[in-house]
Amino acid sequence: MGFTVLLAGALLLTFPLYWMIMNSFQGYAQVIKLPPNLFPREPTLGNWERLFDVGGARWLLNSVIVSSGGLVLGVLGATTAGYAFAKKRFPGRDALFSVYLATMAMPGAVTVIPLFIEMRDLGLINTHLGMFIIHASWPFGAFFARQYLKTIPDELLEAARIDGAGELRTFMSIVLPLARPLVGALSILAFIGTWNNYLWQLLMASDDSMFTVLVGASSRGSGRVVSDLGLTMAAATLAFIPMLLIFLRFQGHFVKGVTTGALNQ
Amino acid sequence: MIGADTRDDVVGKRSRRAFAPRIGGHLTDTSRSLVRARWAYLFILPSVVATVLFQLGPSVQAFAMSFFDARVRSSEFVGLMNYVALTNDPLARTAIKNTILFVAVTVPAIVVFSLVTAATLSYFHPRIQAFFRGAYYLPVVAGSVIMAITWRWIYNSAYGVLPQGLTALGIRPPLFLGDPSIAIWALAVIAIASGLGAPIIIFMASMAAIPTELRDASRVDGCDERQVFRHITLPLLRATILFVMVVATIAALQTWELVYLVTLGGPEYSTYTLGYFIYVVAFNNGAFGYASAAAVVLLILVLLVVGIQMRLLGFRR
Repeated sequence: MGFTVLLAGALLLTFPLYWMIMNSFQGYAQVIKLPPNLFPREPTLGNWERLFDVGGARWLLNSVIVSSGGLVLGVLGATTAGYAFAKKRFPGRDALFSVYLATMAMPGAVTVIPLFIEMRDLGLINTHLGMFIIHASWPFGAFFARQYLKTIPDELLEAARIDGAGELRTFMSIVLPLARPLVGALSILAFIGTWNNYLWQLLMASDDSMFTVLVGASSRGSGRVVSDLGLTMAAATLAFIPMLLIFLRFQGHFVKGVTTGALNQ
Repeated sequence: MIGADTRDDVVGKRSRRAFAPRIGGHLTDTSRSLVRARWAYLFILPSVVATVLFQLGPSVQAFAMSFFDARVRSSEFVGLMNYVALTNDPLARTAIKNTILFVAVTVPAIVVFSLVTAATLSYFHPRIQAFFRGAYYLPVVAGSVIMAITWRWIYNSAYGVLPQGLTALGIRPPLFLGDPSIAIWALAVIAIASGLGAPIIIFMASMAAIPTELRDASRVDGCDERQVFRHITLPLLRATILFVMVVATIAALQTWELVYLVTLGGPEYSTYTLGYFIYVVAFNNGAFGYASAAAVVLLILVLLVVGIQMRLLGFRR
Protein backbone atom coordinates (compact mmCIF):
# COMPACT_ATOMS: atom_id res chain seq x y z
CA MET A 1 0.00 0.00 0.00
CA GLY A 2 2.80 2.33 0.93
CA PHE A 3 4.43 1.49 -2.35
CA THR A 4 1.42 2.70 -4.31
CA VAL A 5 1.45 6.01 -2.52
CA LEU A 6 5.18 6.36 -3.08
CA LEU A 7 4.69 5.63 -6.74
CA ALA A 8 1.83 8.10 -7.03
CA GLY A 9 4.00 10.78 -5.47
CA ALA A 10 6.87 10.01 -7.79
CA LEU A 11 4.57 10.19 -10.78
CA LEU A 12 3.10 13.49 -9.63
CA LEU A 13 6.54 14.99 -9.30
CA THR A 14 8.02 13.69 -12.51
CA PHE A 15 5.01 14.03 -14.77
CA PRO A 16 5.45 17.79 -15.42
CA LEU A 17 8.98 17.15 -16.64
CA TYR A 18 7.85 14.31 -18.84
CA TRP A 19 5.05 16.48 -20.21
CA MET A 20 7.49 19.31 -20.86
CA ILE A 21 9.76 17.10 -22.95
CA MET A 22 6.87 15.56 -24.86
CA ASN A 23 5.33 18.91 -25.69
CA SER A 24 8.58 20.25 -27.02
CA PHE A 25 8.09 17.84 -29.87
CA GLN A 26 4.48 18.71 -30.64
CA GLY A 27 3.13 21.35 -32.94
CA TYR A 28 0.73 23.96 -31.64
CA ALA A 29 -2.39 22.20 -32.85
CA GLN A 30 -1.41 19.00 -31.09
CA VAL A 31 -0.41 20.85 -27.96
CA ILE A 32 -3.74 22.56 -27.43
CA LYS A 33 -5.73 19.58 -28.56
CA LEU A 34 -8.34 18.36 -26.13
CA PRO A 35 -8.02 15.79 -24.74
CA PRO A 36 -4.24 16.19 -24.64
CA ASN A 37 -1.95 13.51 -26.04
CA LEU A 38 0.08 11.60 -23.54
CA PHE A 39 2.59 10.88 -26.25
CA PRO A 40 3.16 12.96 -29.38
CA ARG A 41 1.05 11.61 -32.24
CA GLU A 42 2.76 13.77 -34.82
CA PRO A 43 6.20 14.54 -33.44
CA THR A 44 7.84 17.54 -34.99
CA LEU A 45 11.06 19.45 -34.68
CA GLY A 46 9.41 22.76 -35.47
CA ASN A 47 9.63 24.08 -31.93
CA TRP A 48 13.30 23.29 -31.77
CA GLU A 49 13.95 25.02 -35.07
CA ARG A 50 12.17 28.10 -33.82
CA LEU A 51 14.08 27.91 -30.57
CA PHE A 52 17.41 28.05 -32.33
CA ASP A 53 16.12 30.79 -34.59
CA VAL A 54 15.42 33.08 -31.67
CA GLY A 55 18.82 32.38 -30.15
CA GLY A 56 18.46 29.19 -28.11
CA ALA A 57 22.00 28.09 -28.87
CA ARG A 58 23.36 31.44 -27.74
CA TRP A 59 21.34 31.21 -24.54
CA LEU A 60 22.75 27.77 -23.78
CA LEU A 61 26.26 29.01 -24.45
CA ASN A 62 25.73 31.94 -22.10
CA SER A 63 24.57 29.59 -19.38
CA VAL A 64 27.63 27.41 -19.85
CA ILE A 65 30.04 30.35 -19.84
CA VAL A 66 28.48 31.94 -16.78
CA SER A 67 28.28 28.66 -14.88
CA SER A 68 31.87 27.82 -15.71
CA GLY A 69 33.00 31.20 -14.45
CA GLY A 70 31.05 30.67 -11.27
CA LEU A 71 32.61 27.23 -10.92
CA VAL A 72 36.18 28.49 -11.20
CA LEU A 73 35.78 31.45 -8.88
CA GLY A 74 33.64 29.55 -6.40
CA VAL A 75 35.92 26.53 -6.10
CA LEU A 76 39.04 28.69 -5.93
CA GLY A 77 37.71 30.78 -3.09
CA ALA A 78 36.17 27.85 -1.25
CA THR A 79 39.20 25.54 -1.29
CA THR A 80 41.71 28.19 -0.29
CA ALA A 81 39.49 29.54 2.45
CA GLY A 82 38.53 26.04 3.59
CA TYR A 83 42.21 25.14 3.84
CA ALA A 84 42.96 28.20 5.91
CA PHE A 85 40.03 27.53 8.23
CA ALA A 86 40.83 23.84 8.54
CA LYS A 87 44.59 23.76 8.84
CA LYS A 88 45.84 27.18 9.80
CA ARG A 89 45.73 28.94 13.07
CA PHE A 90 45.42 32.70 12.88
CA PRO A 91 44.02 35.56 14.91
CA GLY A 92 40.34 36.07 14.11
CA ARG A 93 39.87 32.66 12.55
CA ASP A 94 36.85 31.54 14.56
CA ALA A 95 35.21 34.95 14.47
CA LEU A 96 35.61 35.11 10.72
CA PHE A 97 34.15 31.62 10.34
CA SER A 98 31.14 32.66 12.39
CA VAL A 99 30.66 35.58 10.05
CA TYR A 100 30.73 33.17 7.13
CA LEU A 101 28.09 31.00 8.77
CA ALA A 102 25.94 34.04 9.46
CA THR A 103 26.02 35.21 5.86
CA MET A 104 24.54 31.89 4.79
CA ALA A 105 21.28 32.89 6.43
CA MET A 106 21.16 36.33 4.84
CA PRO A 107 18.25 36.65 2.44
CA GLY A 108 19.30 37.30 -1.13
CA ALA A 109 16.79 40.11 -1.33
CA VAL A 110 18.91 42.20 1.01
CA THR A 111 22.08 42.05 -1.04
CA VAL A 112 20.66 41.97 -4.53
CA ILE A 113 19.72 45.64 -4.75
CA PRO A 114 23.09 47.10 -3.74
CA LEU A 115 24.81 44.42 -5.83
CA PHE A 116 22.82 45.51 -8.85
CA ILE A 117 23.78 49.12 -8.28
CA GLU A 118 27.38 48.06 -7.78
CA MET A 119 27.41 46.20 -11.09
CA ARG A 120 25.78 49.11 -12.83
CA ASP A 121 28.42 51.49 -11.52
CA LEU A 122 31.19 49.10 -12.55
CA GLY A 123 29.75 48.84 -16.03
CA LEU A 124 29.26 45.10 -15.68
CA ILE A 125 25.58 45.01 -16.58
CA ASN A 126 24.89 42.77 -19.55
CA THR A 127 28.27 41.03 -19.29
CA HIS A 128 29.17 37.45 -18.53
CA LEU A 129 31.59 38.61 -15.86
CA GLY A 130 28.87 40.55 -14.14
CA MET A 131 26.74 37.43 -14.06
CA PHE A 132 29.22 35.10 -12.46
CA ILE A 133 31.61 37.26 -10.48
CA ILE A 134 29.32 37.39 -7.47
CA HIS A 135 29.73 33.63 -7.09
CA ALA A 136 33.32 34.15 -5.96
CA SER A 137 31.70 34.67 -2.58
CA TRP A 138 30.53 31.22 -1.46
CA PRO A 139 30.44 30.73 2.30
CA PHE A 140 28.86 27.30 2.02
CA GLY A 141 31.73 26.20 -0.18
CA ALA A 142 34.25 27.29 2.42
CA PHE A 143 32.24 25.46 5.09
CA PHE A 144 32.09 22.29 3.01
CA ALA A 145 35.79 22.48 2.17
CA ARG A 146 36.76 23.02 5.78
CA GLN A 147 34.87 19.89 6.85
CA TYR A 148 36.70 17.84 4.28
CA LEU A 149 40.15 19.33 4.64
CA LYS A 150 40.11 18.86 8.38
CA THR A 151 40.46 15.16 7.72
CA ILE A 152 43.91 15.58 6.20
CA PRO A 153 46.44 14.44 8.83
CA ASP A 154 48.45 17.29 10.28
CA GLU A 155 51.50 15.03 10.27
CA LEU A 156 51.44 15.01 6.49
CA LEU A 157 51.63 18.76 6.31
CA GLU A 158 54.22 18.88 9.07
CA ALA A 159 56.38 16.38 7.21
CA ALA A 160 56.17 18.51 4.11
CA ARG A 161 57.19 21.58 6.07
CA ILE A 162 60.16 19.78 7.55
CA ASP A 163 61.16 18.62 4.11
CA GLY A 164 61.37 22.24 3.14
CA ALA A 165 58.22 22.63 1.11
CA GLY A 166 56.83 26.15 1.02
CA GLU A 167 53.20 26.90 1.80
CA LEU A 168 52.10 27.10 -1.81
CA ARG A 169 53.97 23.93 -2.69
CA THR A 170 52.36 22.06 0.21
CA PHE A 171 48.93 23.20 -0.87
CA MET A 172 49.34 22.33 -4.51
CA SER A 173 51.34 19.11 -4.28
CA ILE A 174 49.90 17.53 -1.15
CA VAL A 175 46.56 19.03 -0.21
CA LEU A 176 44.97 19.42 -3.62
CA PRO A 177 45.67 15.89 -4.88
CA LEU A 178 44.19 14.53 -1.66
CA ALA A 179 41.23 16.83 -2.05
CA ARG A 180 40.22 15.71 -5.50
CA PRO A 181 36.81 14.40 -4.36
CA LEU A 182 36.23 17.71 -2.61
CA VAL A 183 37.08 19.71 -5.69
CA GLY A 184 34.81 17.46 -7.73
CA ALA A 185 31.86 17.91 -5.41
CA LEU A 186 32.43 21.66 -5.09
CA SER A 187 32.72 22.03 -8.85
CA ILE A 188 29.37 20.40 -9.44
CA LEU A 189 27.65 22.36 -6.71
CA ALA A 190 29.15 25.65 -7.89
CA PHE A 191 28.26 24.99 -11.52
CA ILE A 192 24.68 24.14 -10.71
CA GLY A 193 24.27 26.94 -8.22
CA THR A 194 25.44 29.48 -10.75
CA TRP A 195 23.33 27.93 -13.50
CA ASN A 196 20.18 28.24 -11.40
CA ASN A 197 20.67 31.81 -10.22
CA TYR A 198 17.74 33.04 -12.25
CA LEU A 199 17.13 36.41 -10.61
CA TRP A 200 20.67 37.60 -11.11
CA GLN A 201 20.80 36.44 -14.72
CA LEU A 202 17.52 38.21 -15.34
CA LEU A 203 18.73 41.44 -13.79
CA MET A 204 22.07 41.42 -15.53
CA ALA A 205 20.77 40.79 -19.03
CA SER A 206 19.49 43.79 -20.89
CA ASP A 207 19.23 42.30 -24.36
CA ASP A 208 18.22 38.97 -25.81
CA SER A 209 21.69 37.91 -26.82
CA MET A 210 22.83 37.87 -23.20
CA PHE A 211 19.96 35.72 -21.95
CA THR A 212 20.91 32.54 -20.25
CA VAL A 213 18.87 29.51 -21.17
CA LEU A 214 16.74 29.86 -18.03
CA VAL A 215 15.89 33.48 -18.72
CA GLY A 216 15.06 32.66 -22.32
CA ALA A 217 12.85 29.75 -21.34
CA SER A 218 10.96 31.80 -18.82
CA SER A 219 10.11 34.29 -21.56
CA ARG A 220 10.03 37.05 -19.03
CA GLY A 221 13.34 38.49 -19.98
CA SER A 222 11.98 40.83 -22.56
CA GLY A 223 8.56 41.29 -21.08
CA ARG A 224 6.88 39.10 -23.59
CA VAL A 225 4.38 36.56 -22.43
CA VAL A 226 4.85 33.55 -24.57
CA SER A 227 1.77 31.86 -25.89
CA ASP A 228 3.93 29.64 -28.03
CA LEU A 229 3.76 26.70 -25.69
CA GLY A 230 5.81 24.40 -27.87
CA LEU A 231 8.64 26.91 -28.02
CA THR A 232 8.55 27.45 -24.29
CA MET A 233 8.65 23.74 -23.60
CA ALA A 234 11.54 23.28 -26.01
CA ALA A 235 13.47 26.05 -24.28
CA ALA A 236 12.69 24.58 -20.87
CA THR A 237 13.80 21.15 -22.06
CA LEU A 238 16.99 22.68 -23.37
CA ALA A 239 17.59 24.20 -19.94
CA PHE A 240 16.81 20.90 -18.24
CA ILE A 241 18.96 18.48 -20.23
CA PRO A 242 22.40 19.64 -19.00
CA MET A 243 21.25 19.49 -15.39
CA LEU A 244 19.76 16.04 -15.93
CA LEU A 245 22.98 14.78 -17.49
CA ILE A 246 25.08 16.17 -14.66
CA PHE A 247 22.75 14.61 -12.12
CA LEU A 248 22.80 11.19 -13.76
CA ARG A 249 26.56 11.20 -14.04
CA PHE A 250 27.34 12.62 -10.59
CA GLN A 251 24.46 11.43 -8.43
CA GLY A 252 26.82 10.56 -5.62
CA HIS A 253 28.12 14.09 -5.35
CA PHE A 254 24.62 15.47 -5.14
CA VAL A 255 23.81 13.27 -2.20
CA LYS A 256 27.10 14.19 -0.55
CA GLY A 257 26.55 17.88 -1.07
CA VAL A 258 23.05 17.79 0.31
CA THR A 259 23.87 15.72 3.37
CA THR A 260 27.10 17.43 4.42
CA GLY A 261 25.45 20.53 5.77
CA ALA A 262 22.69 18.54 7.42
CA LEU A 263 24.54 15.77 9.15
CA ASN A 264 27.16 17.89 10.80
CA GLN A 265 24.82 19.92 12.92
CA MET B 1 83.54 25.24 10.11
CA ILE B 2 84.25 22.09 11.95
CA GLY B 3 81.05 22.09 13.95
CA ALA B 4 78.86 22.38 10.87
CA ASP B 5 80.53 19.44 9.13
CA THR B 6 80.08 17.17 12.08
CA ARG B 7 76.45 18.14 12.36
CA ASP B 8 75.82 17.29 8.73
CA ASP B 9 77.42 13.89 9.11
CA VAL B 10 75.39 13.04 12.13
CA VAL B 11 71.95 14.23 11.22
CA GLY B 12 72.01 14.78 7.48
CA LYS B 13 71.67 17.97 5.56
CA ARG B 14 67.87 18.09 5.38
CA SER B 15 67.26 17.85 9.08
CA ARG B 16 69.44 20.87 9.63
CA ARG B 17 66.34 22.84 8.70
CA ALA B 18 64.66 21.67 11.89
CA PHE B 19 67.43 23.22 13.94
CA ALA B 20 67.37 26.44 11.98
CA PRO B 21 66.40 29.56 13.88
CA ARG B 22 62.64 30.21 13.85
CA ILE B 23 61.29 32.91 11.57
CA GLY B 24 61.24 36.20 13.36
CA GLY B 25 62.90 34.82 16.44
CA HIS B 26 63.41 38.32 17.68
CA LEU B 27 59.70 39.28 17.67
CA THR B 28 57.04 38.99 20.38
CA ASP B 29 54.62 36.07 20.53
CA THR B 30 51.68 37.94 19.03
CA SER B 31 53.55 39.44 16.16
CA ARG B 32 55.26 36.14 15.53
CA SER B 33 51.91 34.40 15.23
CA LEU B 34 50.75 37.12 12.87
CA VAL B 35 53.85 36.69 10.76
CA ARG B 36 53.46 32.94 10.61
CA ALA B 37 49.80 33.51 9.90
CA ARG B 38 50.55 35.60 6.86
CA TRP B 39 50.12 32.56 4.67
CA ALA B 40 46.78 31.83 6.29
CA TYR B 41 45.71 35.37 5.45
CA LEU B 42 46.97 34.94 1.92
CA PHE B 43 44.99 31.75 1.46
CA ILE B 44 41.86 33.25 2.81
CA LEU B 45 42.23 36.51 0.94
CA PRO B 46 40.35 35.69 -2.30
CA SER B 47 37.35 34.39 -0.41
CA VAL B 48 37.29 37.25 2.07
CA VAL B 49 37.66 39.90 -0.61
CA ALA B 50 34.79 38.35 -2.54
CA THR B 51 32.66 38.03 0.58
CA VAL B 52 33.21 41.66 1.48
CA LEU B 53 32.54 42.85 -2.05
CA PHE B 54 29.51 40.71 -2.79
CA GLN B 55 27.99 39.81 0.53
CA LEU B 56 28.99 41.91 3.55
CA GLY B 57 29.41 45.19 1.75
CA PRO B 58 26.04 45.01 0.01
CA SER B 59 24.35 43.94 3.23
CA VAL B 60 25.60 47.02 5.01
CA GLN B 61 24.73 49.17 2.03
CA ALA B 62 21.21 47.81 1.93
CA PHE B 63 20.74 48.62 5.57
CA ALA B 64 22.04 52.13 5.01
CA MET B 65 19.97 52.60 1.88
CA SER B 66 16.83 51.79 3.79
CA PHE B 67 17.11 55.19 5.46
CA PHE B 68 17.17 57.02 2.16
CA ASP B 69 14.62 57.54 -0.57
CA ALA B 70 17.18 56.04 -2.93
CA ARG B 71 16.11 55.95 -6.53
CA VAL B 72 17.77 55.34 -9.86
CA ARG B 73 19.15 58.83 -10.23
CA SER B 74 18.62 60.45 -6.89
CA SER B 75 18.88 59.79 -3.22
CA GLU B 76 17.60 61.70 -0.25
CA PHE B 77 17.89 61.00 3.46
CA VAL B 78 14.51 60.23 4.98
CA GLY B 79 15.36 58.55 8.26
CA LEU B 80 12.68 56.08 9.30
CA MET B 81 10.14 57.24 6.72
CA ASN B 82 10.53 54.10 4.59
CA TYR B 83 9.72 51.90 7.54
CA VAL B 84 6.76 54.04 8.52
CA ALA B 85 5.51 53.93 4.95
CA LEU B 86 5.76 50.15 5.01
CA THR B 87 3.47 49.89 7.99
CA ASN B 88 0.92 52.04 6.18
CA ASP B 89 1.28 50.27 2.85
CA PRO B 90 -1.61 47.83 2.37
CA LEU B 91 0.29 45.95 -0.30
CA ALA B 92 3.23 45.45 2.04
CA ARG B 93 0.91 44.18 4.75
CA THR B 94 -0.74 41.81 2.27
CA ALA B 95 2.65 40.61 1.13
CA ILE B 96 3.77 39.85 4.67
CA LYS B 97 0.51 38.12 5.45
CA ASN B 98 0.69 36.00 2.31
CA THR B 99 4.30 35.10 2.98
CA ILE B 100 3.63 33.93 6.51
CA LEU B 101 0.63 31.94 5.34
CA PHE B 102 2.68 30.39 2.58
CA VAL B 103 5.42 29.36 4.98
CA ALA B 104 2.96 28.04 7.55
CA VAL B 105 1.50 25.70 4.95
CA THR B 106 4.45 24.62 2.84
CA VAL B 107 7.13 24.04 5.47
CA PRO B 108 5.20 21.61 7.71
CA ALA B 109 3.98 19.83 4.59
CA ILE B 110 7.51 19.46 3.29
CA VAL B 111 8.88 18.25 6.61
CA VAL B 112 6.07 15.77 7.25
CA PHE B 113 5.85 14.37 3.72
CA SER B 114 9.59 14.01 3.31
CA LEU B 115 9.93 12.35 6.72
CA VAL B 116 7.14 9.89 6.02
CA THR B 117 8.48 9.17 2.54
CA ALA B 118 12.00 8.59 3.81
CA ALA B 119 10.69 6.35 6.57
CA THR B 120 8.56 4.33 4.15
CA LEU B 121 11.45 4.02 1.74
CA SER B 122 13.75 2.68 4.42
CA TYR B 123 11.90 -0.62 4.32
CA PHE B 124 12.61 -1.24 0.69
CA HIS B 125 15.51 -2.72 -1.21
CA PRO B 126 18.41 -0.28 -1.73
CA ARG B 127 17.90 -0.27 -5.50
CA ILE B 128 14.29 0.76 -5.05
CA GLN B 129 15.32 3.36 -2.53
CA ALA B 130 17.79 4.84 -4.99
CA PHE B 131 15.17 4.87 -7.73
CA PHE B 132 12.60 6.75 -5.68
CA ARG B 133 15.20 9.03 -4.19
CA GLY B 134 16.17 10.02 -7.71
CA ALA B 135 12.56 10.45 -8.81
CA TYR B 136 11.71 12.72 -5.92
CA TYR B 137 14.90 14.68 -6.41
CA LEU B 138 14.28 15.31 -10.09
CA PRO B 139 12.33 18.54 -9.50
CA VAL B 140 15.35 19.87 -7.63
CA VAL B 141 17.57 18.95 -10.56
CA ALA B 142 15.22 20.75 -12.92
CA GLY B 143 15.26 23.79 -10.68
CA SER B 144 12.54 26.15 -9.54
CA VAL B 145 12.39 28.01 -12.85
CA ILE B 146 11.58 24.92 -14.87
CA MET B 147 9.16 23.72 -12.21
CA ALA B 148 7.36 27.05 -12.41
CA ILE B 149 7.28 27.04 -16.20
CA THR B 150 5.91 23.51 -16.47
CA TRP B 151 3.40 23.77 -13.64
CA ARG B 152 2.04 27.08 -14.87
CA TRP B 153 0.98 25.31 -18.04
CA ILE B 154 -0.36 22.34 -16.16
CA TYR B 155 -2.63 24.68 -14.24
CA ASN B 156 -3.58 26.65 -17.34
CA SER B 157 -7.35 26.84 -17.60
CA ALA B 158 -7.42 26.65 -21.37
CA TYR B 159 -4.84 24.01 -22.20
CA GLY B 160 -3.63 22.63 -18.92
CA VAL B 161 -3.57 18.94 -18.22
CA LEU B 162 -5.00 19.36 -14.75
CA PRO B 163 -8.21 21.19 -15.70
CA GLN B 164 -8.59 18.90 -18.70
CA GLY B 165 -8.19 15.84 -16.55
CA LEU B 166 -10.75 17.07 -14.05
CA THR B 167 -13.21 17.87 -16.82
CA ALA B 168 -12.74 14.41 -18.23
CA LEU B 169 -13.62 13.01 -14.82
CA GLY B 170 -16.78 15.08 -14.80
CA ILE B 171 -15.54 17.55 -12.20
CA ARG B 172 -15.77 21.23 -12.97
CA PRO B 173 -12.22 22.51 -12.59
CA PRO B 174 -11.63 25.69 -10.58
CA LEU B 175 -9.60 28.51 -12.05
CA PHE B 176 -6.38 27.45 -10.38
CA LEU B 177 -4.40 30.52 -11.22
CA GLY B 178 -7.28 32.89 -11.75
CA ASP B 179 -9.16 32.43 -8.51
CA PRO B 180 -7.85 34.66 -5.70
CA SER B 181 -8.74 32.14 -3.05
CA ILE B 182 -7.05 29.23 -4.79
CA ALA B 183 -4.02 30.64 -6.56
CA ILE B 184 -1.78 30.69 -3.51
CA TRP B 185 -2.55 27.06 -2.78
CA ALA B 186 -1.73 26.21 -6.36
CA LEU B 187 1.64 27.82 -5.81
CA ALA B 188 2.03 25.98 -2.52
CA VAL B 189 1.64 22.67 -4.32
CA ILE B 190 4.46 23.56 -6.67
CA ALA B 191 6.65 24.64 -3.76
CA ILE B 192 6.00 21.43 -1.85
CA ALA B 193 6.62 19.26 -4.88
CA SER B 194 9.92 21.02 -5.52
CA GLY B 195 10.89 21.04 -1.89
CA LEU B 196 10.62 17.35 -1.04
CA GLY B 197 13.69 16.06 -2.83
CA ALA B 198 16.51 17.40 -0.69
CA PRO B 199 14.89 16.68 2.72
CA ILE B 200 14.17 13.13 1.58
CA ILE B 201 17.83 12.59 0.84
CA ILE B 202 18.83 14.14 4.15
CA PHE B 203 16.37 12.08 6.16
CA MET B 204 17.32 8.89 4.39
CA ALA B 205 20.96 9.48 5.22
CA SER B 206 20.15 10.33 8.83
CA MET B 207 17.99 7.26 9.27
CA ALA B 208 20.67 5.06 7.80
CA ALA B 209 23.05 6.39 10.42
CA ILE B 210 20.90 5.10 13.25
CA PRO B 211 22.44 1.88 14.54
CA THR B 212 20.21 -1.06 13.74
CA GLU B 213 20.85 -2.53 17.19
CA LEU B 214 18.58 0.11 18.66
CA ARG B 215 15.70 -0.81 16.43
CA ASP B 216 16.31 -4.54 16.81
CA ALA B 217 16.49 -4.27 20.57
CA SER B 218 13.20 -2.45 20.80
CA ARG B 219 11.58 -4.89 18.45
CA VAL B 220 12.76 -7.75 20.64
CA ASP B 221 11.16 -5.90 23.53
CA GLY B 222 7.87 -6.12 21.67
CA CYS B 223 7.52 -2.77 19.91
CA ASP B 224 5.80 -2.65 16.55
CA GLU B 225 7.04 -0.58 13.66
CA ARG B 226 5.06 2.51 14.51
CA GLN B 227 6.37 2.54 18.08
CA VAL B 228 9.90 2.04 16.90
CA PHE B 229 9.50 5.04 14.67
CA ARG B 230 7.91 7.23 17.30
CA HIS B 231 10.15 6.41 20.21
CA ILE B 232 13.48 5.54 18.65
CA THR B 233 13.84 7.01 15.18
CA LEU B 234 12.04 10.30 15.63
CA PRO B 235 13.85 11.49 18.75
CA LEU B 236 17.19 10.66 17.21
CA LEU B 237 16.23 12.66 14.15
CA ARG B 238 15.31 15.77 16.05
CA ALA B 239 18.39 17.75 15.10
CA THR B 240 17.97 16.83 11.46
CA ILE B 241 14.29 17.71 11.51
CA LEU B 242 15.12 21.08 12.96
CA PHE B 243 17.77 21.65 10.33
CA VAL B 244 15.39 20.75 7.49
CA MET B 245 12.70 22.94 8.99
CA VAL B 246 14.98 25.95 9.33
CA VAL B 247 16.41 25.65 5.83
CA ALA B 248 12.97 25.14 4.29
CA THR B 249 11.61 28.12 6.23
CA ILE B 250 14.39 30.45 5.16
CA ALA B 251 13.78 29.45 1.56
CA ALA B 252 10.00 29.73 1.78
CA LEU B 253 10.13 33.16 3.36
CA GLN B 254 12.04 34.42 0.33
CA THR B 255 9.64 33.00 -2.27
CA TRP B 256 9.97 35.13 -5.36
CA GLU B 257 10.56 33.02 -8.44
CA LEU B 258 7.31 31.12 -8.18
CA VAL B 259 5.30 34.31 -8.01
CA TYR B 260 7.22 36.08 -10.77
CA LEU B 261 6.99 33.15 -13.15
CA VAL B 262 3.49 31.87 -12.47
CA THR B 263 1.11 34.51 -11.16
CA LEU B 264 2.92 37.86 -11.10
CA GLY B 265 1.43 38.54 -7.71
CA GLY B 266 -2.16 38.13 -8.77
CA PRO B 267 -4.94 37.47 -8.99
CA GLU B 268 -5.89 40.49 -6.92
CA TYR B 269 -2.56 40.44 -5.05
CA SER B 270 -3.44 37.12 -3.45
CA THR B 271 -0.05 35.67 -4.29
CA TYR B 272 2.06 38.73 -3.50
CA THR B 273 4.91 37.58 -1.28
CA LEU B 274 7.40 39.79 0.51
CA GLY B 275 10.15 38.68 -1.84
CA TYR B 276 8.04 39.60 -4.83
CA PHE B 277 7.08 42.91 -3.27
CA ILE B 278 10.75 43.80 -2.86
CA TYR B 279 11.42 42.92 -6.48
CA VAL B 280 8.55 45.00 -7.84
CA VAL B 281 9.36 48.01 -5.71
CA ALA B 282 13.04 47.89 -6.60
CA PHE B 283 13.07 46.90 -10.24
CA ASN B 284 9.67 47.94 -11.53
CA ASN B 285 9.32 51.13 -9.54
CA GLY B 286 12.97 51.98 -9.04
CA ALA B 287 12.50 52.77 -5.36
CA PHE B 288 15.69 51.16 -4.10
CA GLY B 289 15.52 52.71 -0.67
CA TYR B 290 11.99 51.63 0.02
CA ALA B 291 12.73 48.16 -1.29
CA SER B 292 15.79 47.91 0.93
CA ALA B 293 13.67 48.76 3.93
CA ALA B 294 11.30 45.96 2.95
CA ALA B 295 14.31 43.66 2.59
CA VAL B 296 15.45 44.54 6.10
CA VAL B 297 11.96 43.68 7.30
CA LEU B 298 12.31 40.34 5.52
CA LEU B 299 15.62 39.76 7.29
CA ILE B 300 14.02 40.53 10.64
CA LEU B 301 11.19 38.15 9.79
CA VAL B 302 13.69 35.41 8.94
CA LEU B 303 15.59 35.90 12.19
CA LEU B 304 12.37 35.96 14.18
CA VAL B 305 10.85 32.84 12.69
CA VAL B 306 14.08 30.86 12.78
CA GLY B 307 14.72 32.03 16.32
CA ILE B 308 11.28 30.84 17.40
CA GLN B 309 11.79 27.49 15.74
CA MET B 310 15.14 26.96 17.38
CA ARG B 311 13.75 27.95 20.74
CA LEU B 312 10.72 25.70 20.50
CA LEU B 313 12.33 22.67 18.93
CA GLY B 314 16.01 22.92 19.42
CA PHE B 315 18.25 24.23 22.08
CA ARG B 316 16.27 23.80 25.20
CA ARG B 317 19.24 23.19 27.39
